[in-house]
Amino acid sequence: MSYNRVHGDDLRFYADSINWLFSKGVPRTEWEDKNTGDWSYNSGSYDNKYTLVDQNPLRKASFNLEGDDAHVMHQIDLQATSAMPINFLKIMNHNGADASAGFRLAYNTSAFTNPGDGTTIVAPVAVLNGSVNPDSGANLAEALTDSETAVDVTDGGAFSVGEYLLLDDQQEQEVIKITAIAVNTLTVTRGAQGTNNVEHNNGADIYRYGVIKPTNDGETILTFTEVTDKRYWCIETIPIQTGGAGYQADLDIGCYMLGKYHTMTMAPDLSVKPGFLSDGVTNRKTVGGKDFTFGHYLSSNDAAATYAPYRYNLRYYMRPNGRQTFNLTWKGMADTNIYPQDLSAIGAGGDFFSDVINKVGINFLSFTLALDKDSSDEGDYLFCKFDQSSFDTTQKAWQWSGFSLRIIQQY
Amino acid sequence: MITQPANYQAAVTAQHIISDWLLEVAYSDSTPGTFYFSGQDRTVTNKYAGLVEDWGEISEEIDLANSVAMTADITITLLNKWNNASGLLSDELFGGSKKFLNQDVTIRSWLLGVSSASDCVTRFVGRLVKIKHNLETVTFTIEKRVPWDRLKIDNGKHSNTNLVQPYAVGLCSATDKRYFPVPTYKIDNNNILALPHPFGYQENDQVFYYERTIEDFVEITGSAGVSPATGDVYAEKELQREAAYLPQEVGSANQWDNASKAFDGTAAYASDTLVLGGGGEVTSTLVLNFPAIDHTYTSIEIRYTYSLIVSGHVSGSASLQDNTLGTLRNLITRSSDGTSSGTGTITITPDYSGEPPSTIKLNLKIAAGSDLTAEARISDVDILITTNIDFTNPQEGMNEAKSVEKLYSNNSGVDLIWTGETSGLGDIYPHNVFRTLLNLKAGWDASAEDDVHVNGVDWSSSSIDTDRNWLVFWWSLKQLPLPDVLKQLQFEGGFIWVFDYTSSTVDARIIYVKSSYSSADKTLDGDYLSEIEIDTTPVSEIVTKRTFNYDRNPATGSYRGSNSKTNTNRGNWNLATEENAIEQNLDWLYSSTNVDSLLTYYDNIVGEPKIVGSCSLDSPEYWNLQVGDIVKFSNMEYDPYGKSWSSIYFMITGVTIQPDSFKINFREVG
Repeated sequence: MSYNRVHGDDLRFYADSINWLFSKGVPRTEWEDKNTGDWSYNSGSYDNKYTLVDQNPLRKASFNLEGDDAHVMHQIDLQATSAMPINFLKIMNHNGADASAGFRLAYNTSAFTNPGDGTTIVAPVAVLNGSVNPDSGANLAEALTDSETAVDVTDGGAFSVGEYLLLDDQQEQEVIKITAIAVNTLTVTRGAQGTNNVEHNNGADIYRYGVIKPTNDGETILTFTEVTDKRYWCIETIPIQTGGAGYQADLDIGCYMLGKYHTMTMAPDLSVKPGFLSDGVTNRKTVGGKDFTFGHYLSSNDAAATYAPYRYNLRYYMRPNGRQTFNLTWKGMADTNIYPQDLSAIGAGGDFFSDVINKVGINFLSFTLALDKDSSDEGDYLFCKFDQSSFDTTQKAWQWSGFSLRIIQQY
Repeated sequence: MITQPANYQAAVTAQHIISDWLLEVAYSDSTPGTFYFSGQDRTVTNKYAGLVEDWGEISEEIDLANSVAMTADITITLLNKWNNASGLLSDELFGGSKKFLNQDVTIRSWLLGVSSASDCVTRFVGRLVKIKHNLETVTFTIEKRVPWDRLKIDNGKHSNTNLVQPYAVGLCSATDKRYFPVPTYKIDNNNILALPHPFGYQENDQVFYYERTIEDFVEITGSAGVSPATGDVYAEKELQREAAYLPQEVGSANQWDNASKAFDGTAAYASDTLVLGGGGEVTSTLVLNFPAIDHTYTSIEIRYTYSLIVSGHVSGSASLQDNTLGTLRNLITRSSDGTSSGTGTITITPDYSGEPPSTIKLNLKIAAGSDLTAEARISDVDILITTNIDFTNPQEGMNEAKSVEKLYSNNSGVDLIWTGETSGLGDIYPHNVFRTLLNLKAGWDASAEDDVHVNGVDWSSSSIDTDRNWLVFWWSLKQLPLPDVLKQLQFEGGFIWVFDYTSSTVDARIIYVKSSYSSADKTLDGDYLSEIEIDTTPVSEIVTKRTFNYDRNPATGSYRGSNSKTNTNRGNWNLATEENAIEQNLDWLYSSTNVDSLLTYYDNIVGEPKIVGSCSLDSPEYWNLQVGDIVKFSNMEYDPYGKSWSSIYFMITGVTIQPDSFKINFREVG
């Protein structure tokens, strides 16, 4: 825990590319349900695909999945095959832990159709609230040659078609893809995801490749090596209950955010003013001067609601009062870290303007701020917006500029 | 609620929205066209010039207490720039070949991500009624397009006289004394001619004369009808008519008991009993006043049902006698115990010397020296009278005929007609007539029957024909402004008609408050609302007692019925007896039961103070709401006056819309 401290080069901004595209006029229909024959939404008003990308994590879409083993796939078409950097996925207000749901992200050069599609399953790093490549609980039930495609396992019910499995009992890892399941025998494609066929020992552990398993319900963030040239991205949920039996509850998801994070450059002179704004409280005075207080809200969803972004595991009455704020002033840094070389050719980014200011439309879209990019504490993350209608920089010297940001928590 | 196109719907649930309006101003020219404007240069099927400086606001309101809808004009300000020789938009708008005034204007709601004009929501369709400009700006004033604007209702002009021909709605009824009046305009050699009946010659046409003294319509049994050739109503100038009339009242010298029952149309009777034990004769007289009928009587028959009961007979006889003309005539005599009964007719004509009798007099008599008890019973008395205008003196006869200003027809009123309607003269209810008049008099018809929604439900699936099965009967002898007529019809039908251009499948909506609600069109989440204000309807709006005068007499225009309803809780509001009590005339309804239903409807709305309020809908997800929609509230910060939000249904009674804001007024309805 950082004690609300900000480390200049540990600040990380997670800006959502899906809503950035929408804000620029890309139709929301480019966000699609996939393999809908395998799964369905529940019947609530918000149980639809748009709820998943509305940047409103409080409002959840619910899937009718309890006891089912379907993969739920959603695809975004990023419209371009270059200069479209992606390196994180945020899943907000989910009950993945309760439902025993894992999440997997893949990209492709063409549209997705079936579970397991995709040129590449990203190799995630769990940043917040999750573990990567979870153990399935099942093991190989036979020694495996490097060519055998009928794989006997101790519990075939733990798996579903379209899953990628990681076998890691040898010096060289191998990924295999399940194409069919007959009780405890998996039909697989060997040497998937660029790995080589390798012999494996009887009893070897089987891991779910590319899957992030939420540790708790709430927010999960996974990052991965930046990819800039893939147009189609698919978020896939996978039942990961050890011993099978599918999802353990209907899966609910507040929203997905997919994009490129920006880690702030270290600057020698950073002014940091953390604060809490109690904007839900009104004080009124009688004509005689008596003071009355009306509290509309003291913190996010303080009326016994179970959810507040990144404060999921706090009881509602323990949430910090007021709206968390940060006034940050970088008195100077290399302007190459702030702006792209050519504003008419904003590309893969790397500068603060391209990665953050342009992606969120200054004060239009929400983003997540990590006070410490490596922190696994929810309290170091903030769902927020810029509380300013302009982004002003001051050129202090040749190639040296400074700027200020005011950041305010979103409920 | 507006059904939003899928691509529009896809955008509204987002937390962050970019929205604008698209303005389309049509013009007529040798090749008609449209100018397109928006807040920014946009291509959304069409190219919209980004010239709008101020959108103004769309403001719609319904008044449930008076059943009317109101839409304010919209004022839009544009920058006065255009790609022409002067560089001024104003040069294009007036004086050239393009005519913009009074042409259609459409305002669409656009959200970023919606790329087709057809995927936008049509917010408003109106007419450009004013164009103002100075060097810097052009201001458009747009009024909502309502098909009934500046129209009148009549049945055309009479070809011979240029008089306005009457208009009629409903079905005639002898029982309820409802016939359509047609003004007379000429007497030719044989006939009194009246204007054509509203809907021309029909089979079984009958013509009636209004007898003022008995306040009833009497069929003209002489030559009369509707001319198949001209449609004129005519009657032979003598206006001969034969009809059965009831005595008007009990005469002053009456001696019988329950005399009025002799003509009350029931099995009850008037009676009297005499006892004589010898001595001189005894009599008692039933006296009933004769009806005063216009014109000259040519025959009179008094018809009655009688019983003469004799008991304790020792000697003598008892009789029932007629003394109407002052000359005693035995009708029946009985000389023994027992009962004589039957029906009888007294023909007055042979003894009738010209002046009609003023009373009917029937005697019960026991002859002198008799020893018996006699009881007489009389019921079902009526008088069959034949009258006409006497032309023995031609000048006097003509003067009499000239004084007849109206005849009356039993021809039926207008058929119900709109696309999909098949009942013809089926259910002459207010909403059906409203739709018919729009079709016939304003030239407005929905594309399909179900393109008119009733409280959010397709017309044919709605319950309006059971909720509002109130029969109407209406006529007009002069041109009336169509909006006034429809406004009154709405009021009496207890509904509000709103034209709707927001969807290709909804052309208009009917709104009324249902007697109870079990579900809302939408539940508004307090997390997505702001500027919430709660109020009550003002005391001045409370109507604790309402009286409706109804059943307009076709001959006199007076109202033959009057019903009232007093709110049972009026004492709660410290109102004196006559405070907040109103009396109103109904021109369409005639049934007491239906009027009571209407009284109940308005009492439910304004009989007591109701909770009203306003708020801003901050989530565009709610921007498909319209006036008349039913909403509930959830997740609210506080309760209205301590009542639970969850137990109250509200109707949206007003919307104020701008491209980036949507405010509603709401009113408690259940």
